[in-house]
Amino acid sequence: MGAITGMASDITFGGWEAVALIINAICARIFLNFPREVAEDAGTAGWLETVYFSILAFLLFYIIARLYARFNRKDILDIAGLAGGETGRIIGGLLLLGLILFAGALILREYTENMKIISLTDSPLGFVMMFFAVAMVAACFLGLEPIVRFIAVSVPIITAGLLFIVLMVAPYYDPTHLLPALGNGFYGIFGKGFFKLSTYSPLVYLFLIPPFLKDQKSFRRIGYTALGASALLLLISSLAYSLVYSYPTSLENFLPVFQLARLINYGRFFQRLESVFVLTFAISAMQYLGVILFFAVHVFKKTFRLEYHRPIILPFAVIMFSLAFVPSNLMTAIDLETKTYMTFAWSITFILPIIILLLARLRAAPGPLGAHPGGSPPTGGHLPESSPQGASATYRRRRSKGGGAL
Amino acid sequence: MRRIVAVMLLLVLCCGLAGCYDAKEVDDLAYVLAVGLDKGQTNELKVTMQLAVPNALGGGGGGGVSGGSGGGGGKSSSIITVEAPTLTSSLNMANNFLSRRLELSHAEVAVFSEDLAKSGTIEEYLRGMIRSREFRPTINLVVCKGSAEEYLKSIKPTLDLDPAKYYELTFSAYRYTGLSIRSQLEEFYADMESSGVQPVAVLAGVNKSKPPKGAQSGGSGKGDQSGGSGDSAQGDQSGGSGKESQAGGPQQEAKPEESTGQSKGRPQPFEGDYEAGSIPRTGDVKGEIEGLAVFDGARMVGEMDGEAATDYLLVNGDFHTAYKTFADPEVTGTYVVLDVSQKSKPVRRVKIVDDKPQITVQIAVDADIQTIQSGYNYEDTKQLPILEQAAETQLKDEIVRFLGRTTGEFHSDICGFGDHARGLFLTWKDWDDYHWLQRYKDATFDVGVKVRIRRPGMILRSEPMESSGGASRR
Amino acid sequence: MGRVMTDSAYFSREKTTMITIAKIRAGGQPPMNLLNTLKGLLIYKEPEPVEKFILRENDNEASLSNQTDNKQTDNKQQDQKENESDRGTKKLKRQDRGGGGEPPPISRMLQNNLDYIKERFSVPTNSDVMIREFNVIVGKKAIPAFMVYYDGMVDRIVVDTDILMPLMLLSNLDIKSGDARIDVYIRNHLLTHNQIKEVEEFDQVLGEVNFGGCGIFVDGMNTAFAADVKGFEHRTVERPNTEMVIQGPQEGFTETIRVNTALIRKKLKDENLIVEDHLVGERSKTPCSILYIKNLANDSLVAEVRRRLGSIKVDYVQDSGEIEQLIEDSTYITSPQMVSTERPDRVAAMLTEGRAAVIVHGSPFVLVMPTTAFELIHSPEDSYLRVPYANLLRCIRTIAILVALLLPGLYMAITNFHQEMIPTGLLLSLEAAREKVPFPSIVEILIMEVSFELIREAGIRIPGTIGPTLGIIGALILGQAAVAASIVSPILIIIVAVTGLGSFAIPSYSYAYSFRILRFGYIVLGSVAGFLGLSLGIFLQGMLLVSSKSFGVPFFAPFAPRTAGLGDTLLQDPVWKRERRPDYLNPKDNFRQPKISRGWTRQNNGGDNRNGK
Repeated sequence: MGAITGMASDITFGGWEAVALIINAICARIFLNFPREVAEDAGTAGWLETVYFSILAFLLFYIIARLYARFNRKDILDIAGLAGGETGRIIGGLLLLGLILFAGALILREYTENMKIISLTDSPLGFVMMFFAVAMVAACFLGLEPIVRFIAVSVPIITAGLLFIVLMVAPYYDPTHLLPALGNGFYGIFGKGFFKLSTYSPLVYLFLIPPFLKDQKSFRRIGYTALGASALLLLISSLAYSLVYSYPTSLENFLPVFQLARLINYGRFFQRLESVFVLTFAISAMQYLGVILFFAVHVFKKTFRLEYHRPIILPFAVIMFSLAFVPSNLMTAIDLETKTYMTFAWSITFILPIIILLLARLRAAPGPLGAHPGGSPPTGGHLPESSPQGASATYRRRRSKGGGAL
Repeated sequence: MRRIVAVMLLLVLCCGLAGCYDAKEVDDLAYVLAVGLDKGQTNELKVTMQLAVPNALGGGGGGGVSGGSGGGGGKSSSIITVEAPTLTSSLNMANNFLSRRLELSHAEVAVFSEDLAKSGTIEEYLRGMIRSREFRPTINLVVCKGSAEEYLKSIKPTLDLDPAKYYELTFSAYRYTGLSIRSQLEEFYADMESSGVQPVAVLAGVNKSKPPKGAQSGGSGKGDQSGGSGDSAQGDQSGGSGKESQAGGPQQEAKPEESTGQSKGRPQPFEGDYEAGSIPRTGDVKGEIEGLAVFDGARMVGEMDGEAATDYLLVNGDFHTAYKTFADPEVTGTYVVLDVSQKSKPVRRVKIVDDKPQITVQIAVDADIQTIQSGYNYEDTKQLPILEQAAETQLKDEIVRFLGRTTGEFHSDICGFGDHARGLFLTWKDWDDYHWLQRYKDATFDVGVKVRIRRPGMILRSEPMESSGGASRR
Repeated sequence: MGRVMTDSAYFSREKTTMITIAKIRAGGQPPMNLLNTLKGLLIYKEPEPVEKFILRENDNEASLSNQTDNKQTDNKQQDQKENESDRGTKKLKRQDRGGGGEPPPISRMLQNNLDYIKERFSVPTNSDVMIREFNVIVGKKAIPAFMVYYDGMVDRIVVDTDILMPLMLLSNLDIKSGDARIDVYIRNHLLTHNQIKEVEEFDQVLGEVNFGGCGIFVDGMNTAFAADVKGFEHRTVERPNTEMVIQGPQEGFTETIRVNTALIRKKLKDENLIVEDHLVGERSKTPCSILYIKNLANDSLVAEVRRRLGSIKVDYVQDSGEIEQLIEDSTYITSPQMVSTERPDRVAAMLTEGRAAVIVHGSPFVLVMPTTAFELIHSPEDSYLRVPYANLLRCIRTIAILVALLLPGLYMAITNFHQEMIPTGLLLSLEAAREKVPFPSIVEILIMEVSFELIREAGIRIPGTIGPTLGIIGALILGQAAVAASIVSPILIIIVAVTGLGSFAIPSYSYAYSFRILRFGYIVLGSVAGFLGLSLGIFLQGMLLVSSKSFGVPFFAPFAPRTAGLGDTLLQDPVWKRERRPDYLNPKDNFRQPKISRGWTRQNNGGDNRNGK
């Protein structure tokens, strides 16, 4: 919807697109390791851990959203610029870039490896990775707008696919697998569980999209909706997984959701459907990788004030492609993700924005920002701008007529 | 535009250069329908594989081709055996003499010989299977009395062209017989690792019986058993020399005591009083399943008959529906057959008193009357409780006997009471420290069975038979 | 157009992300050699700004909030656009003069005019040009005059009775009028024909004559009369050939533009329906009309259609298919970006949703724009059928699309990569069927697909009614023989046949084409990497689809981006529930009927639905 009401040259999109983007980014990990990881931390109480760190994420996001309220239409890099000038922006940008590239490379590697193990056992890794790389680069060349639109269509379908799997394995559910109720104990759930906050680290993309958003007021709502929906999906997946697999065995499975899908077995005809899972899995992966590459390039462009982002797409793709080959085996890659990435990603997602926002608030406190609440900010000059009143009024009207798109 | 074309060309080129690594034509593969594992003579393992032979199954070639073998008559499967150190290596070795690459994704059943199961090495092979992408997690696990090879060789279904269909239907038959169970690789494996439940597998065997000369198969109702048809070979005795003794090998003398009915004090065995391989019957397919194999960890510790399988299903809440024979409470010597179905999950509670598990099981089943041989009017609402009472007592006795064997004889918590006991603990560590599986043997049971007869079948009221009275009722 | 936009200052920023052909062509590359080509491929060129049209909210809404800089830019942009379109039409006018420099004005001297006309029409070389000289009796005077027309293009009876007769004979009647001026007198009293234009330029007369009119020059007048007396042969209104329906109107468009406009007006009796004429093609001078409903269609949409149509500079245009290619947004995505229909009822219905249509003289197909991916699978019959039936058809068509697009690729992926998915029994019979086939399945399927396309193409080319029959028989015999000779497996024949059926079930002819092309892509992808390849295909195709636009409307609206009301997309609402026009069209009036369109459902207003709120 955004594009229709939007400016001729902007990339703009509406609330649902943004929500879908965040959901896809967070929930991509469901297909990878997530249900197994929480089982590893919390044993039989993985779902409890999910609830716990989701609540934490909500709290942190609440703080960020409160702090954010004054910085309309600015992304975290602009605000870093306000807080620390050029240096601030570059430091913030490089940190973000590091996070995005790290995650991107690992995820590219893991998706590829998974695909290789699931269905293309004899193909070389590079060949399989090429498919993801092509999708990623193509998506990036076409731009953010097609990506989010595609995601807006595909996320409901992929979610339906996930729920389908979860429902179809219902005959294998055994509630006793959730016992003992506290699993590996308090430390497992609440101590180790804290670092699972990094599951929500794709929330950084939310801090990068405000300039693209049609309706500035929706920033907070998008955040909560995306967090809520993701938390629900994470909870459902971890619950379903631990309902089916009893505890020590649940630590073993490499691709939890795929393993669930393999169990589907209704009658003589309706079985062995897990290959269909490959379709949803791959499409979800491709669009997520497209998002990652786009934002890596975007952050770089913005950090160093480049005029075009297209020329650096291929170099960044090559960098990601090469980084993805760094871990010598899949076990290392998974360790890097579940151990290294999970321990630090949350700090960049949640703590860095808080610091930046606080600094910016301190520095800009007497400044003109407060003078124009909801008005056009003076520093956003290079950003596309439209009348907030008119646009948001339009947006609201259409939203309400649209009837619960969120 | 030129750019786009260039990128396209590059992509096509890439694909071309890379080739289709994984593409395998359907007809380049040989589909394994069943795998059997025996102890090898020259090596660790003797692997038997039943392969689908497509020509026979497909009805021979396309439309007008004359060359095809005339529809369906030919062999539908072929059996190969390889002696190999591991299951996976046997695939490699088999491909030395098979033209097609072996593909396991359509395997329906994995059969382990009793020897192998009892030696406890089954774990080694299961770990390979669960890691493999090709083996289905839903593949049926079977323990075969005697040799697995012999069992697979005996599966030559005549009703189904396709052995795969035979397996699928046979191993889901527990839903309407209650005499075997569901044991799939994934469940078995998880139970094997679990600290709250022990695995079980379907018991299979090769039938050795030949019908007694006098009694033709047809109406082998209740009376026919008197002919002493409970003849059966001791599966595990003849197991080693399986090959020559297939398809009704050396005839052995009828031994009625082969049925487990004797030990339960029944004059004549019920349908559940057999284990696979000892069912008195004839038929083209010599292989059969009934009963279950009980494991402790990965080691098989015993086998139980079909009735135990029913009890196992009832206690676990997996019982669907089946005919079940009960002794007539009023007219001795006749039977009442009920169509029993389990409508709700059993209530299972575990308490730990004095460090010993106290287990409560409440089972409620519905039943429809199928047969009342005596013609006694149980349909009358006043008489009905008598029948219900009798059925409850018999079922309860069976279940108590069954649970007693799991604690006393096997020390194996196959019904998964441990899973419920976990609820008594707060964290995994506490639970682990309790060592449930070691304490299960001390468990005491409190079993309650409730039978509710809902429908009488097509007859609402039985009238006694009139006769001249010249001969007494039997 | 590129030039016009380049010098406008506000486009200096990174405006666009599209590489266009125009750019590379205009880039003026040095003489081709390999090195340059390679360099051209690798080196990043600054994107040249390309006009990107996005359908916006209505102008009055936009003007409410044009306080900020950007809105002003916006306005500027619009001005620019209008300027440009003006310029375009002016240019067009100038070009219409064709060869021969500035024509002289119409002279008062009849002989001058006659000489000029003879020169322009190359009389006497040009044999079907008729110049008839005669005298007009005005009062007592006999004034020389002549008329010019093409033989065969005009209606002889009309020329004789309505033009020549009054001028030559009826002028003797006693006419009570004081009109002194000769031109006024002739126009008002003598010419009894209904369509007479008095024009001042030769070109206008010529244009009229070229299109079956006649020009009348009278001595002493510096104007001429152009009478529309078209009488050329044309096809009558027949049933549409490509869009057959069982239930619903059976009229189709013809090749004549006025017949076509009349067919639409016949259905849409609204004076707000505007028919705006344009001439396209410097030589063919094909008349085109832009149709829209004035108080419904978004102004910027109409302006954009006008702009695109007006800017076309080609020599010869014959069919709307060519116009479609000239004004569509992207040439290289496979799906059509406007609806091409030969059904007046469909055009009328779409006009009332706020769309614009282009009619091209000489083509029985009318273009309607913008459109979306979902409208292309709608059949005109859908809204005439009751909702359950229509929705069943919609579902079947959706399945048809999936089948036509994916089935062969899916077959390749499953049989070559995911054998475990096939039920064992089916797999074994598949295997048995393939046993004797010597080719790998990719070759097998390509053989069948190509021969199927061959049969289809040949079926169209074979003259007369035997065509389709022969096609079907050919397919059967070919398939049968191929199976018998073990060249293909019988299952594959089924796959190809079902795929073919699927592509025939897609209502839009050119949409079906797009799936036929893409199908081959999916076959290749499916046989290279199984489901992963298919996923890549779906992803890329989806990305291209959602990124493309049809006249500023995202092709995947209303799903991506989400707009209000999903009413008539995959499924269809009942007639009484279709309150809203498609939101993505941004029509001037969003509602086409009140909330309660069936007044009788409310007891108190007894069927008078004007009261229905």
